[in-house]
Amino acid sequence: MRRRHVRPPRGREDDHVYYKEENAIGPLWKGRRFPASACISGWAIQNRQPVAIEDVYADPRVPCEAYEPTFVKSLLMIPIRPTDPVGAIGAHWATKHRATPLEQELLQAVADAAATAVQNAELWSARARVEDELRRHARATETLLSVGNALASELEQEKLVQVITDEATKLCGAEFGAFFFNVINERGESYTLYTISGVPREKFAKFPLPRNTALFGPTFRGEGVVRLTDVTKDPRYGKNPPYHGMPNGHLPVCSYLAVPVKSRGGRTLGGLFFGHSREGMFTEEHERLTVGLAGQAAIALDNAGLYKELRESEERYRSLVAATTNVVWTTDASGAFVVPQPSWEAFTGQPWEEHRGFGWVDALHADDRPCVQAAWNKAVSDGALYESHGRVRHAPSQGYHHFEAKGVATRNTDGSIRGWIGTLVDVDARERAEEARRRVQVQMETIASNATLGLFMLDARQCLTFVNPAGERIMGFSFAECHGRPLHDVIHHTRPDGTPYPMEDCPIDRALPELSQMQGEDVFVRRDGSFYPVAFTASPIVEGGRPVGTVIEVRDITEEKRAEKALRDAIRARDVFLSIASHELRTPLTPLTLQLQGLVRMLQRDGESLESQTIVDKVTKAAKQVTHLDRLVKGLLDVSRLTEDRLVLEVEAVDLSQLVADALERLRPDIEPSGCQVSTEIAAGVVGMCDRLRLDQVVTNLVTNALKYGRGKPVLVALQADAERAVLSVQDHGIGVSVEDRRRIFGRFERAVSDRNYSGFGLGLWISRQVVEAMGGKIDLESQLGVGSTFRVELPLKPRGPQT
Amino acid sequence: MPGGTILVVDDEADVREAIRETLEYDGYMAVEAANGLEALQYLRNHPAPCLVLLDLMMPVMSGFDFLHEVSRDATLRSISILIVSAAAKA
Repeated sequence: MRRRHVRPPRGREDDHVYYKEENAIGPLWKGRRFPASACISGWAIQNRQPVAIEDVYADPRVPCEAYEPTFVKSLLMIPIRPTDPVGAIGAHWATKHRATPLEQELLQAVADAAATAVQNAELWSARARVEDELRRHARATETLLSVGNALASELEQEKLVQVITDEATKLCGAEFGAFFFNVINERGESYTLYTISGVPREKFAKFPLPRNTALFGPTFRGEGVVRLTDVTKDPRYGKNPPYHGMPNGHLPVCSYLAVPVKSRGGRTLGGLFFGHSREGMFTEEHERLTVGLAGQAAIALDNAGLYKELRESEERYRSLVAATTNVVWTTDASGAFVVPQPSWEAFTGQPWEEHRGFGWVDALHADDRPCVQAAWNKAVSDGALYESHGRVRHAPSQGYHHFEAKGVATRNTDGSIRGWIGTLVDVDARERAEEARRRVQVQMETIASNATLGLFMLDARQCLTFVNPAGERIMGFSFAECHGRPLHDVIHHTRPDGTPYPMEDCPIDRALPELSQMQGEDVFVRRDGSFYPVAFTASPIVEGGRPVGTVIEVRDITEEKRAEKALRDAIRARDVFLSIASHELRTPLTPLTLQLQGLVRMLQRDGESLESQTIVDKVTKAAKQVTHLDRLVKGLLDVSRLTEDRLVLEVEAVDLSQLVADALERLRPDIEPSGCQVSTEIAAGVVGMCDRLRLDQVVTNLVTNALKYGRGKPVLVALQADAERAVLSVQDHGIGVSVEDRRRIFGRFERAVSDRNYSGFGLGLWISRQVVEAMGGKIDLESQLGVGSTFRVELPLKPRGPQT
Repeated sequence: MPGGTILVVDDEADVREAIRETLEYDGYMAVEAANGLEALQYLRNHPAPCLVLLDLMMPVMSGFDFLHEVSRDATLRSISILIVSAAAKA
């Protein structure tokens, strides 16, 4: 009988068996692997039962090809430990043989013994493993504990990091380890804070720090542990310039372990990096331990950070207290100083003898004592926060400074007040600044409110932020209505011709972008859409070199414009008048001069032979021109008198019917050459109270005008009356007066038509109107250009005051 | 050269009369016209005068318009015209 032992394979190779020991089948099968289905041992293991084969070539369970090259004809196969097979033991016969029960029993015994041996071996190795594990756990726990203690007691960050690095390097059996802080400077480069363990720091001093490379990046980003059997074979290795891997002279690294250190807040504080020159030195266990240590390190680093902040804040507090010029005070429960108050003494100049007890009250300004004491008494009685303000002696300036005091009660365990602690803050500068600001504000407000100029302020977007009352009056909108709106859109949106006025074109709104003061005149729009002329100055406001707004001064110049136009018109009218006057005055002078010169020549040439009638003729004609001149001069005097409001009326009962008839009779010499047929419709016996000569002047003016501008067409002079008033009308069919000229012709020196063809001062209608209105009446005109005019004078029969 | 005819054109009757009397006293024959139109009508219907004394500012037809008409009329163009005007800036 030949024996052999087969082991069931493990893992993925479950389907195979291989021959462990064999002394009959020979080198043919030793070490060979067979699929479990291709041999009887595989069948026995899979079926967990013994199998006896009398003829391998006849039994259907046998894949006979496997046995063909061998001597085997019969066999017996027993699984070892059928409950959890570890293999099988078999006997083979070269001749056909049926295994006897004894043979079966014998082989079964061998199989059982083998099973027991395997069991023992397995148990032993398991125990050894467990022991080993326990030992390592104990060591790791010990290390973690001691490291934890060391870390917890270490608050100096630099030392702490060194402890972490040293311990972690030991823990994972690395040749060297390092901790790098995850601090990036403003250029995005790693910060230089790191510690090295296992090798002198100098070994790394000349190398650049680990950067955010493909290999180091995941650790600094806190993405997880990187553990590599051979770092140089990792696809991430050597990807970054300039070195593409370790720089020359770097300690050789094969095994690589990198663990991020993350704070409680989730921030990655840094990374622990370990190296070993041999491959595969860092196990899962090392990784686990290092991760545990990293967790403790993170907590310790957090604590160290807090400690550092606390220490810094304490230092800040101390330096603040040392530097403060203010007072910190303590009193007993009643408010008395029971220990010297050095800061009080320094501030007020009161030595201890003076400020002890309630001596501090003396340092207060007398006017403020009642108020401060009241606040103090209130705080003491209800134990609440003490707050007061007033003025207190200030030794350095030898005057009084404004202060603000605050204090809180300190209490005994039973809740009763033990004393008070508080501060006194010098707010004098603030108070003075506030006072000055208030004064300036009052001044500004006074100026703005009383200015007759409109003052506007716009922000950088040209929106209204301030307007004074004069500005509101000018634009007709209240501040509330246009606050925050672009001022341009409120009062400057349309040009006088009705077209939109874009803000970009507006000189006022250009002051800011162009940073230059703009001045000029423009036209704004009222609420109702009407326009008004303004003069403006727009000045940009620049703060710290930055344009922030515009201040605009605006003056409504409607009245100025009107006065300006009136003045211009008056000057023009005066110039026209002077030119007309010179012509009119010269007109009688020419015949006067000619008549007198002619007379002189006659007298010189003919002497005594000259007939006296000829002389009388000449002198009469000259005298007529003098009369004409006299009338003209009187007219000028009238103008002067009326202008100066010195027209004196001599009112009497006048027969108006007779007055009109007389005037027409007197004008007869003028009527004929005019070619106009003058007809009358005069009511008889109309008597009114008026100035006879002035009224005659009016009638004469109107009729003369009708003849002058009547183009030789018929003229109708009518007079009607009722109980209260008389109406005189003079109608012609002449050139007429245009609508535009109707108002103007009653003005001084005004005529509807050019002076070329019509003589006269242009004073007649103006004088007439002044006279009629002075007598309480009115004068008006109906006219159509080219058809004719009707002047109508309405006079009260009983005098009233002049119409206004 | 006393004895010639002189046309006096002026809208002011008193001026015309004074000039006419002066001329007549010196032996001239004076003819009057109250405006440019009357003067033009006279010239077209009478033998040419030896001189026209012309005012400028007149109704109906001014002296300027009269001069314009005369310059367009070949038969009148050679007549001597003396402008007599009170207008300062004529």
